[in-house]
Amino acid sequence: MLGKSLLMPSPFAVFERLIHHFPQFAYHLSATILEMILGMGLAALIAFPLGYLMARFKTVGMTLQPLFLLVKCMPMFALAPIMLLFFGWSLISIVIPTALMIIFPLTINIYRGLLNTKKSYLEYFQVHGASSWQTFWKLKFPFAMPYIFSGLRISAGLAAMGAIAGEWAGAQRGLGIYLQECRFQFDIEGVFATLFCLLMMSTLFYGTFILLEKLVTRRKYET
Amino acid sequence: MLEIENLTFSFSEKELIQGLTLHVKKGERIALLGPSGSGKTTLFKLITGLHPLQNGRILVDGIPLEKGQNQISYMMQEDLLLPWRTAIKNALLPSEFSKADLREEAEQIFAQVGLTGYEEYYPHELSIGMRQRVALTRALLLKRPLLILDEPFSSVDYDRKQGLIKLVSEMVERYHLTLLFITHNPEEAKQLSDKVYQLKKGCLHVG
Repeated sequence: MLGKSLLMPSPFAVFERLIHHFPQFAYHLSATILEMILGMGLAALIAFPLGYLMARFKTVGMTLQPLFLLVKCMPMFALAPIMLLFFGWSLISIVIPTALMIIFPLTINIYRGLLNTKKSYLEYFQVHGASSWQTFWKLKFPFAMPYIFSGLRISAGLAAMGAIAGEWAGAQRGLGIYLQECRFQFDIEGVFATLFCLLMMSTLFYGTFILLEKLVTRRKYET
Repeated sequence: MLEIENLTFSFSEKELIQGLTLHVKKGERIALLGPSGSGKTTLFKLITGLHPLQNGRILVDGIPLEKGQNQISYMMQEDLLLPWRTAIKNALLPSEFSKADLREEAEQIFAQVGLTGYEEYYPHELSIGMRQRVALTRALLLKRPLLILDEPFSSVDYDRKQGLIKLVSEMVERYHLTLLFITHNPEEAKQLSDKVYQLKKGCLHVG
């Protein structure tokens, strides 16, 4: 603790810290990025079929919504250690809490998006004999796109929180681990530099989804 | 072709259609006039099966309504173009449901409605009148026996309208289609139809 400043560090000192300890940050950052990507991937794999089933069958939607609320109310920092009991000290113990953070908002966005289709369009498809698959693929899914991308953008921020929660419960590397080390050593510059990295990473994911949305929709959704 | 017997339909305790009976022969062209809220669109929605039957019956080509739906091509009041599809792809949409390739015919109709060169435009890049012409192309392209048009020329200028009336008339004759359409314009009704009906207080009146 001796020799370390407990005062708010200057932005210059934070950047200096980042540059001087870049290999260390890169080492931890790569682990967190991997956890976030895997968490988002797993969440998407579960959220898309769930959102579809909720929109397709009213009873599924009504049954799952309270369950989602239950999962959402559970603090991930409390749930993460339980994952350790099930899956041990492994990547999956971090990926699951990350995915759990994302599944709820992503599924709800997909569900809302699929219900968003205007009635008159559905009527047009019905009169002209479209099958339920054609109605989904050619109408409901494209109409849900803005909602889906909104869910993905929200998940970018939540994924970082989920990964940190998982790492704090039990991991060898990752920005969460580095953040904890810095906190215990009263290394305020290190804490700020780590937070800056997390912020940049979430912004990068967020920006990627915005870019992807623009590429997919290419202003075609304007009316 | 179309037999409507003693049709009654109420919405929020208001009787919109009262014991309506209408027989339309194959190839006949019927215009439906009437003030807003008189039940014209409701009648079309009953014919197309979008509103459930409460009383009476509707036969399309002798088949009860629910089985006769693939006989109908319906152009609704809104153009209902999908914003992420180009004009030509919007026109081809219902033909994709039956996996028919009608691209060439769509291009021909596009030429007739004055949309050549706009095939790859997105709906937000077209004027309201142009969008309506895409919707009309989409309805004509299917060539289903019963063609139902809800105010098909409402956003089109006078000169263009004459061309479109001629085109619809030609298509109806060439493919022996039966036409039912709503309009607020008596002149348009006379030009395109064999019979003109007025829908007033849920009942049909000739002329």
